[in-house]
Amino acid sequence: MRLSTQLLLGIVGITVISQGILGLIAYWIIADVDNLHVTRLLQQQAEDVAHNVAIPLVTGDSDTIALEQTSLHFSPGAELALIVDHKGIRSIAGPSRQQIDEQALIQRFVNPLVIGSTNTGATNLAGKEFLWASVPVVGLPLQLVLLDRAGTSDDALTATLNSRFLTISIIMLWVAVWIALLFASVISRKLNEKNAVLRHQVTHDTLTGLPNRSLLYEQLSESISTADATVNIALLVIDINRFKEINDTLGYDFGDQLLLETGARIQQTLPENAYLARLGGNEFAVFLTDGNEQRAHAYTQHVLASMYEPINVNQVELEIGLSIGLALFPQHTDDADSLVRYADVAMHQARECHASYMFYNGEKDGHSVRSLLLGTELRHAISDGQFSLFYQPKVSLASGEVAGLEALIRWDHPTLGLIPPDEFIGLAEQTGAIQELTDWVLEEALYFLRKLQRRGMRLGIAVNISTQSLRDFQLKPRIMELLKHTGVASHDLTLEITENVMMQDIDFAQEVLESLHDLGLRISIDDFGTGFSSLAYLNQLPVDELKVDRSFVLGMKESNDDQAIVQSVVELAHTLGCSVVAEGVEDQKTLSALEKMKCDIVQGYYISKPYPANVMEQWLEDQGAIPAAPRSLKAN
Amino acid sequence: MKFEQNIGALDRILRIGISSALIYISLIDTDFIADPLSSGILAFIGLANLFVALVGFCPLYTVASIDTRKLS
Repeated sequence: MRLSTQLLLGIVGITVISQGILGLIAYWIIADVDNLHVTRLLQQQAEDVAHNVAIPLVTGDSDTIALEQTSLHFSPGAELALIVDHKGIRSIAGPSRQQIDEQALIQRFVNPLVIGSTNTGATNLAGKEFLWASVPVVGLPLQLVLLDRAGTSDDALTATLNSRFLTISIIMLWVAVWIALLFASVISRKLNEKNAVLRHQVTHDTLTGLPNRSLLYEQLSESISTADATVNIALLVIDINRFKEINDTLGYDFGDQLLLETGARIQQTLPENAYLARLGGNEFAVFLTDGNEQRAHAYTQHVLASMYEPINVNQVELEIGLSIGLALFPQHTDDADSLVRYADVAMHQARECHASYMFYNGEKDGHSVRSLLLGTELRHAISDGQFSLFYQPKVSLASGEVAGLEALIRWDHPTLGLIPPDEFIGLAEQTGAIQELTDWVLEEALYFLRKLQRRGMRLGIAVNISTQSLRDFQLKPRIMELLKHTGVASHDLTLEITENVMMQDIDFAQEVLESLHDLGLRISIDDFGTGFSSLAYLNQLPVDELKVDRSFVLGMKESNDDQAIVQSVVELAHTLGCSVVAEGVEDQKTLSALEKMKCDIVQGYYISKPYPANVMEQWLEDQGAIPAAPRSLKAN
Repeated sequence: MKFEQNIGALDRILRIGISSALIYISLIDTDFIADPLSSGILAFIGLANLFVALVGFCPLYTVASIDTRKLS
């Protein structure tokens, strides 16, 4: 039951009960008063009768008649009038004289008679309650007793009291109801206000006052459920670039101000039927309720444009960039939850590609169920031994000898089969398992190398290092330890790092690479030609080897351009003092061409496919890499 | 005269019922209430409420800002 109804019933109930109790009390009081009054009245009337009956008695008139007349005159309501003396009842008058037993009367009034006294009382005769008054008859040794029925009477006083009581009850009831209504309305209004405030707090972000994530979901779900077949909803997830950096450098207060300002600017761009929310952290979300693809594009441009002008906070001007991910309903999904997730994924994709915005692309979704599954299985996989290292030889064109091996990691999942590195390296980085993975790779590779070297082979080994591993402070110490442990010389270990990774943060890369180079390790730039190298920096980095990306090598057959590119890379490498490796050699023609260009090292299926350790060992034996007699390289 | 409405349907019905009863016992059936003062007061309450119920506006409600139309 609602609070106001409860309150109303409660107060009215209390009033009614208290009035009931009051009524009962009043009734008893009135009844008593009534009796008291009647008794006094009776006494008064008895005295009047006694006074007037005395005269005829003295003069000798018949007692009874005198009594009758007098009592009728002075006390018309009396039931019974008696004149008594010690001997008995002298006369009786009154309408009830037939019904009353004389003996009872004698017993009650004659026996305890005291002549000359005035008494009142109540008695029970023939089953009925009577009030009596006994008064002396003046001048004679007689008592006059007057009896009247007790109980309710139509007395004016009672009636007055009753009606007054009724009136007061009604007024009280009225006031009670009114007070109850008053309380109820005040309380429910206060409650509603409090509820509204609470609800606002729960559904809105405290800093910006914008709706928060849960309210967004609510609104989005509602829009989706009320959408008909023609309606398109576009969801944008807007992320502020480098927000963490800004917070770290300029402080959290600044970050807060930045958020407020960004929120305000986005708010201004909102069209009629759009909804803005803050998802938390540095993310905002906007959804357009008639956002087909074109409109979504147009609106996104609009939002990006709003941030062109630098934001000024406390005299500090900052140019803020946004990364925006978009997901569409119903094209991408018809569920609010997924819509937000996909837009988020799209936003991350945009980030990675350095694009300002990107639509969700189902194929590139790195957050699919399979990825999640693999991500969790990664760590177990390492200890389970599901990973294995394959090796691919790198052969020197000049000498025909195996110069080194590249270690390639493979994951043989028990149910999903062979999983390519492209898929799991990213996951490993996301889940933080990359450290363990890199450690394992280094260890395996170095131990294998040691084994080969003990058999007399002279070669090096190359291991791929990912972005995160570069940033790992523990990398260098661990490499040092492993080298010490295995006894492998540092110049026999090459670290292959992709061009992109290095160019992402050149200064940092320079620092790390120099530090690793100090150990004596060889540094190789992998997939060269696919990143955005600055030649100036390239010159500064301690690079020993450039590996031409396979796409160019593969394309050499068909395209003169690719051939020219490979040639220039070879020349560039030599100019910089690096050796150059051509990856992806698949036929003799390419091999010959590379030889002509004076490429140093070749790697590819034409030379050998990647093989596991034991197979590779055998292959090396067959190739005569074990010094028995160095033969020239035979094609496989 | 236009009065601001603040009496709901149920409220109105109750008021009219009770007012009629009061008017009856105070003015029509003169014997029920013997005391003239009491019957006078009740008559007054009855008439006033009947008037308020028919008009739809109770000044007491306005003072307390209660509105029984939506059952506060």
